[in-house]
Amino acid sequence: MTPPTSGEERAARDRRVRFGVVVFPGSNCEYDAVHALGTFPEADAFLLWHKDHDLLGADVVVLPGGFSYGDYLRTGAIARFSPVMQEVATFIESGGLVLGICNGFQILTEAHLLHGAMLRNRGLKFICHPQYLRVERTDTPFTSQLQIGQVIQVPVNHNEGAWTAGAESLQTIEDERLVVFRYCDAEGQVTDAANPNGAVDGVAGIVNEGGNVLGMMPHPERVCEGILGGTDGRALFGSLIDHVLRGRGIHRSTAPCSWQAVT
Amino acid sequence: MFKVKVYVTPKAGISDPQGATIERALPALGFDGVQSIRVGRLITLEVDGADAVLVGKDVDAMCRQLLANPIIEDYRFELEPTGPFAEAMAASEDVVVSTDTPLHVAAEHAGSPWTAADPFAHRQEDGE
Repeated sequence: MTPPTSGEERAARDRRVRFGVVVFPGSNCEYDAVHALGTFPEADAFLLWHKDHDLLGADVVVLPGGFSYGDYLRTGAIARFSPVMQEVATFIESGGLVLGICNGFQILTEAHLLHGAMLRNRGLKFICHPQYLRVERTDTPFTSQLQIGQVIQVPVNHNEGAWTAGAESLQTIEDERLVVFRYCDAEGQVTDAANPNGAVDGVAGIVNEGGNVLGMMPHPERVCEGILGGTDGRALFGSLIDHVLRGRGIHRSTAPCSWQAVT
Repeated sequence: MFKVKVYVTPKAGISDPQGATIERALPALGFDGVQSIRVGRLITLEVDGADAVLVGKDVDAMCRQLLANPIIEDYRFELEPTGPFAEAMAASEDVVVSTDTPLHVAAEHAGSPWTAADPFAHRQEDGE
């Protein structure tokens, strides 16, 4: 993949939906994200270096999982000050779509671009396993291919994923319906036993008030190919692609399986 | 120059799984009757400057912007003068206003190191 020299050049060269995946020192899921997006013919994924001040014309910015800056001090606390985050904040203000996965979610909370903060998992264990999630909202650019109450299976892989928030934020989140995914059991019941990390109200993923920023602890990029154990993550990236294309006046089938399995 | 100690602790009401784990471990060693264990971190730094109020203001900003996350953590800090001022301060055990420069130094005694005169004392416990 030849990196483009400018956003304009890329835009002129390619009409696909552009996903810029930010690489911080210590990110380790950026290639997973690029690989997963590579299975969508409508997507073009490329890496953005954290010191860049140019999002290279990205339609969607992905903050990937990993251990940015070694998780020093607090997860995401240092990455928040990376130069590219200024661009990301401006991008968000202008309505740009940002998806923060795991460490990306942690960075977004530290940057106050999403509500809340992350605590160490209840039980102090690093968790890494498939996890059922209940879909709480489908009226976001990230979830239009899903159904309310649908149960999807997406792996979690983190040590500090117990999302929490102050009373005021919790009220805002409730009032504005900002929760998009909750940890649940196979039947879709949000129970304490199904909560892997002690997150408040089983919160696994939230959006901002504008609905254009989603942070989630589970890794949808890891379940985009059957050979890797699941395809439930495809609906999320598919929804994003639909949303961007619709914004350009292109309406394509929203069937979650409008893709070719890559094995 | 000041030696600064910043104490970052989990906010009241915020779950602290590390503290809870230690609390469960101590009775196994025979230490009974221990409770309310909270685990935080101590950050030490040295900051240039002669005016404790200005340095304190800077440290407070550092705490709010990076060293602590006010959503989940409280912070407080202590300043200890070093260098040219250290000797003058050594004789003092409590708040000192130096004679030559407006040097307000918070003493390290029990409780909040800052005095009520400190303009941002209210931030130390509630984080805002």
